[in-house]
Amino acid sequence: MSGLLLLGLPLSQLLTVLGAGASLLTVLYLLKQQRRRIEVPFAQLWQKILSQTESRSWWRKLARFLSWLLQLLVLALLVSALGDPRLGRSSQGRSLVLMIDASASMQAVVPGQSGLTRLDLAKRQAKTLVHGLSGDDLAVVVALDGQPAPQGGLSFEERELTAQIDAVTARDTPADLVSALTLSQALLAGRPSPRVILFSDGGFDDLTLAQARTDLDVRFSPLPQSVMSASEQPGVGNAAITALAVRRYRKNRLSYEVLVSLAWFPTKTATVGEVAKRQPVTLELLQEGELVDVQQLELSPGEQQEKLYPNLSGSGTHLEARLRLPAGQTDLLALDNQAYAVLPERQRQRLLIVTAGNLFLEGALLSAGAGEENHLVIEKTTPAAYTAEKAARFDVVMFDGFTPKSPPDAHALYLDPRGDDSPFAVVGEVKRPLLSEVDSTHPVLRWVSLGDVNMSRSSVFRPLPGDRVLASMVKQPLMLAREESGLSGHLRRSVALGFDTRQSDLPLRVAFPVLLMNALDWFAGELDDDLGSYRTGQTWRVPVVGAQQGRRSGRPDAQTLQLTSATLMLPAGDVVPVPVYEGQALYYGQQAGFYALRAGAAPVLWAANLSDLGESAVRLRTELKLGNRLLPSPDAGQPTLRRELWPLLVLLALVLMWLEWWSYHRRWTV
Amino acid sequence: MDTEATSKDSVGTDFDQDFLKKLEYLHVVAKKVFAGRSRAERRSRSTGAGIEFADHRDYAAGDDLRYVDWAVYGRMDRLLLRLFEQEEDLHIYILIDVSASMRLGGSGQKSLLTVGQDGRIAKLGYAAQVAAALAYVGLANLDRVAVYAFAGELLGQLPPARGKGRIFKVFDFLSGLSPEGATDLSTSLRQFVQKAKRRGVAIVLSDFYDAAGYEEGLNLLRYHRFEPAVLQILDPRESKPSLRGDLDLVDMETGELRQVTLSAAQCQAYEREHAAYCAQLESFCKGRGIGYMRAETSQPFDELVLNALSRGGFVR
Repeated sequence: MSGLLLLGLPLSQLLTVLGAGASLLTVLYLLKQQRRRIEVPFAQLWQKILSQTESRSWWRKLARFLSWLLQLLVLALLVSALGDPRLGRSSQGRSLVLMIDASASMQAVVPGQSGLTRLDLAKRQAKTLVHGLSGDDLAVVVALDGQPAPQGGLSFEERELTAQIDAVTARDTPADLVSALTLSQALLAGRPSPRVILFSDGGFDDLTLAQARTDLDVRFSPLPQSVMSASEQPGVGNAAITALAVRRYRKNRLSYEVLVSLAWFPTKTATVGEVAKRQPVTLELLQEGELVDVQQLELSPGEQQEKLYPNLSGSGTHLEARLRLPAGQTDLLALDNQAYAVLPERQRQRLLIVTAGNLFLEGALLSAGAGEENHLVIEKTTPAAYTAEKAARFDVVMFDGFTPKSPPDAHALYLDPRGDDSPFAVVGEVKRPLLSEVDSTHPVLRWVSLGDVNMSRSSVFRPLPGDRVLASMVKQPLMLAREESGLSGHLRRSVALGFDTRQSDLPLRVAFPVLLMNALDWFAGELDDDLGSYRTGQTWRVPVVGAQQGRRSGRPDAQTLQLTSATLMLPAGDVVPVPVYEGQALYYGQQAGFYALRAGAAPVLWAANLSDLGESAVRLRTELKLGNRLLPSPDAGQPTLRRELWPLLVLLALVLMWLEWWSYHRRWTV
Repeated sequence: MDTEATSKDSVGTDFDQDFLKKLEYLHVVAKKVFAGRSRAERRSRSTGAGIEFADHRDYAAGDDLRYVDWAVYGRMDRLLLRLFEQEEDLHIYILIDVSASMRLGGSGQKSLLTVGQDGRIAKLGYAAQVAAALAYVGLANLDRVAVYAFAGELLGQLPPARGKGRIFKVFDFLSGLSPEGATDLSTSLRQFVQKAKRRGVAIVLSDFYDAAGYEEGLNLLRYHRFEPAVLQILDPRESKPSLRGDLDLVDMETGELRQVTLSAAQCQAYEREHAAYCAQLESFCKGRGIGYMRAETSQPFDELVLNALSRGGFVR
């Protein structure tokens, strides 16, 4: 044993309570000394009686003092009990991490158990083990999901550990076993007899198990055999949507196609010689909650099947795919029967080109989707015919070698702006520059390679606060991007290239139309071509529209606005704050469904899905191997005395109180 | 046992018509008790000019030669004087203790003579009622009744008087009494015997709580040929106290303070001690032919008076 631990109130508070209580007791004790005055007719008679007890007066004084001391002792015992003192551990005690698998597969129901999930059973097993722990065993519960975390501190106490077990909730994420083992190692470092007990269905993929090597003594507590036998019934399995992807067509941003990936994981696998039975399923596609398509499909066991929905159009933003088994069959995991996707609204984009004539530009725009039936509507004008009123009727204005007197109230692309009117101040010029730094993380330069672009000359810009340098030559900005508020208060974006495309080989490269398409998409507010969805169990970096804005029109002295936080509405309707770092909202997604981020100039919507084959496989293992090591079953601890001292202290206090009461009523301590 | 009455309390003037009726009733009953007796027929123990021979004594110069018993002289050649029992009016002296301890029993009522809300009456009030009753009976029998108040000494007196009409004087006297001081029976009765020239019945109404003892005082009465009678008045709660816990006991007469912690056992011991004290007083009186009665204030005073009158040995 080693010393005493205080797990309740800290020592300072105990001393405060003891001091206050002792003061109160002493005051009451002194008040008790205030005697009642009684007049008697003949004190001489009393004297005879009292003289017999006079000899005991010293004892009486002592008895009263002892009574006071006894009361102080009772108080001290009770106050000590508040501190929940514990004896130190014996050398036989174990240090345990009770790792409860809370990954998506643990949400699988147990057939015939009326909604009981694998997680419920695992928690039940963990509670049974906690109940059987010896008094010297110190334990902590770790939830094994995508972000393993302890549910509390190390504790001897069954009640505390039970509360920790109850706090474990299932997540829509795969389990990160490697991180959980690393965490366990840290939790148990330096503690005697470290041990990890894993409560899980064993649904980890083989690669993870092979990589999860640890020096820790890990024990595996599989789910009860009854779960195995109940799951291995015919017609029981898991039909899953393993992916839902949506993308717009390059040519016409108004149309899109949807890809749904499906899989069927029966729990009872076909034996050798037996023909694997195909599983009929019903796939539904919903747009804004309205059913738009229903398909009857047949899935082969263990194989993925993809279903494409081409040429879809519509104004809806919420897409949902649902999968159903025929009536009478049990789908073990409901989580992956739905998949979600968000398709931001996209309207036609009106583009005004102000140019004296640039075939390269017009050709590139044709490939970017210009045309009557497509999303891009282009009109061309000469610099002489350009007016601000005309520009105001367009979403985007491209200035090719022309700089207007004032910037238009629209998104704008400046090709080689010059002069004092240029919204991007020109501070110099470089001959035959090479782009040494390219910010390929910016949406405008995504998939654009500018490394070996040649040009005869280029202006050098002076960026304003909030401007993003897209490309530069040795710290001399040659391409800039800017976000600011327009005259009408809407977000206005502009991009400037410091060189004339006709004096460069850029138009001859694939990068040029891609750059133009990216710029138009950026102007339209479409940040990503991958409109499918995020996967749960990952940290999402969601670009926030207008998170970093430069100067505002009419307010050149305005400072840069930097968003540092935003609010995120979760699928369940809860609203949580999320940090925004470098224009991206960061959030670790643990829930499948639709998300809405409110920050910056416009809300951002997206969806999240499990999309994990390993979890959808809802595998059940009775044995688990970490590396080459087969994990043994957990054992029971050695029974020892409970180390809780407060019941003894309270009992002792009660005995002393009774003793005091008893002696008082026998006038011993009166 | 405790009392809240102050030392300035007095017996008050509550000898009302009802009280007077009770006294008249007592007188009538007393007449039946003493049927056949006539006024002044009671012989005193003193010798004087009576007609009934009482004793002889040696002749001394100056004695009336008419009372020389010549027959004895002739037979024995010795001059002896014949003494006759002197027939005279009976003197009744009522001595009432007004020491502070007689305040016990009063519980805040205006007059110590009246019964409080708790049904209790102060010992002094009770003693006054009994004294008034005895005085009335005596006055009605044409005895000479005098009332004396005492504590550490004689504090006041109502001279001997006769006739029922004087009862109001008695009432006035008793109403003016207030309890104070410590009891000194010896000093008080010594002063009494010096003041009272005529012998008679001396009824002492007191709780007899005298630190110096009651023996000397009572013996003084005897030695001076009074016929003492003792009426010990007690409050029920002083004989059976129910005190518990930490207390400051203060002597009502001396103010002596004693810090005690009383238990039930100690109260029982006190009870026994008190009973022994009373028994000792009773034994003392009976051993010396002194009439003795103990009365608790819970007993109706008229009942007590009738008992006192009817019991032989208390008032002869």
